[in-house]
Amino acid sequence: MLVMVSLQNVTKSYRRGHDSLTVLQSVSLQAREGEFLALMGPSGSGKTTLLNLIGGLSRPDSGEILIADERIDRLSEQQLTRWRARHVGFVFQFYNLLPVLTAEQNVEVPLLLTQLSRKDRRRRASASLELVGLADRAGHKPAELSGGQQQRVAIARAMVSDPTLLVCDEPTGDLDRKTADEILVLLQTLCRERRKTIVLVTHDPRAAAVAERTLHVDKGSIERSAAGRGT
Amino acid sequence: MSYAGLVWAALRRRPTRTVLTALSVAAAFVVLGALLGFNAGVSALLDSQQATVLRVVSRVAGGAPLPVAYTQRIQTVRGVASAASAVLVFGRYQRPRNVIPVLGTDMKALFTIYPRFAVPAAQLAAAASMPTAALVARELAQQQHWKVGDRIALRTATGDLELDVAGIYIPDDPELATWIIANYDYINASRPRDKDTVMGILASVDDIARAPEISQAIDSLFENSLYPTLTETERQYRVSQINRIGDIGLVVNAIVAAVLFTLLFLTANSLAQSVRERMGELAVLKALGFPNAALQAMVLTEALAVCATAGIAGLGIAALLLPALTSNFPTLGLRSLHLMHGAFLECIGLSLIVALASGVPLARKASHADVAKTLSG
Repeated sequence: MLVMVSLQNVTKSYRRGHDSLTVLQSVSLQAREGEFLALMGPSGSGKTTLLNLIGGLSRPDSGEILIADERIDRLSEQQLTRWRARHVGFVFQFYNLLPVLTAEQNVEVPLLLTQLSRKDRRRRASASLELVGLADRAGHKPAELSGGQQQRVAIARAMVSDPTLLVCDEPTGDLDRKTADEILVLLQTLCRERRKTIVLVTHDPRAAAVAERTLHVDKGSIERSAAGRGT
Repeated sequence: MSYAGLVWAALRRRPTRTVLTALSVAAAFVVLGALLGFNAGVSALLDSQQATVLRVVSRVAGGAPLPVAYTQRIQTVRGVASAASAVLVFGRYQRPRNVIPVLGTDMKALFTIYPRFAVPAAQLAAAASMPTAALVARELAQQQHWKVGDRIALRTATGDLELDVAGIYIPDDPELATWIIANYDYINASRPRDKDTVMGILASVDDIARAPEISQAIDSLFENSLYPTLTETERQYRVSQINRIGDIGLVVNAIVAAVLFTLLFLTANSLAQSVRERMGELAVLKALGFPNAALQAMVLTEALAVCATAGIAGLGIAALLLPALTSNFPTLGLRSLHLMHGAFLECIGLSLIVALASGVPLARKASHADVAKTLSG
């Protein structure tokens, strides 16, 4: 099976004044196409940094990052931005929807970067909302939706441009147990039925259990790997 | 949904702030438009003044009268083509507040001095030969519904005038747009005091280049008399009149600079607040793949939309207010002042400068923010 995500000896450090803080130390990992991979670890372990590197939001100091056989660590800032638009869907802990836009408009936003006509954009946004079960809430603004519904809109937004990779940063961190389970089931369905590769960062063992595989990150390294229920 | 929709959404995010910012910009542009329009009007007025026409007035401060006999003597100065006495009285027509200026003069000489004043030759000839004749400015005739042949009675501070409308003239000077021109002898006869005097004498010169020399020659003629004169071209006269209320250019530029600085500060502050609040949203857009240029364009468009829309609205209000403003300076001849194209374009340019000056640094800040850092809070 095709390797979708491959990191080889990736190191990342941040500068704090005159000091340099190494957040990731020679990390290597792989994720297959259509795999649901969870990254777990305590706060400050480097899992979000790892996720940002995979999602092309930041660059490594050294090492290689291949996503679908493309060396994204070699891309310029501009190329990386274009690459993100084509290949990555992001789901954030606090949804990060634009508050003055309706659910459908929020989902449509990534499609502004495509050549699609207005009609086609709306059609795809509508289909994406239907995929997450929120077709009847298309005209609602984020403030009129519950947390779970907002996260579903965020997932619809992440899915609307049909990315190869879904990057989820604590997507259930702000939700109650029941709603969190619903979101996890939705992500699992997208992974299985749409063959999306999902990399999820979480503190929640139940969320990690839904993934096929869980990598435990600690002190900037991958400590161990475990299979999840989703295997 | 479109890029424009995203900009509109950003403006709607805090509608009260957007409206208040727009109102402030509009108010500033009312002031800017009025001042620049006034300045442009003054410049245009000065440009339109004839350097070939001299105004001879008393050198004594306060506008003391001159003997009417000076007119004949000025006529004899080498280089003077024509000279006309001028005395101004104010008549009230029907209502106390309906005040009409009446210029008593030698009509034929006056229309020779101002050949651009249009009047049918037959009407001028008839008016010059009839003591009670009046030539009425077309705008005034339309206002008062007067026509040739009408007799009009005016009440002045010193008595009544009965004038026969003998003709309608079209002045190219806005100051004269609501005046009556009458024969000097008739006006002089109606005055109980200051008889055989004039408030000033108008003279045209043959050669514009010799105007300073001729002015000096006229003043030399009366230098040692009881009534020494001050002769200057119409343009110099206007400049000195305008300078009485200060250096218009300097005052206007100072106020414009102050308004612009305040406006820049206000717009930049308001926009900065708006962008600061939306750094997370802008970071999300960047994460979704929006290029830096698109984010910069959106922030700049926001600034431009507020500044240009409110600026144009402000200029529209200024254009409406300008006639009222200029009516306060009737003696400057700025009655028909309006927001000229130059001033309008200048204001539009200023609004763009304000938008760009306040928007560019923020647009750069928004687009260069570290997405990962911004999203992690």
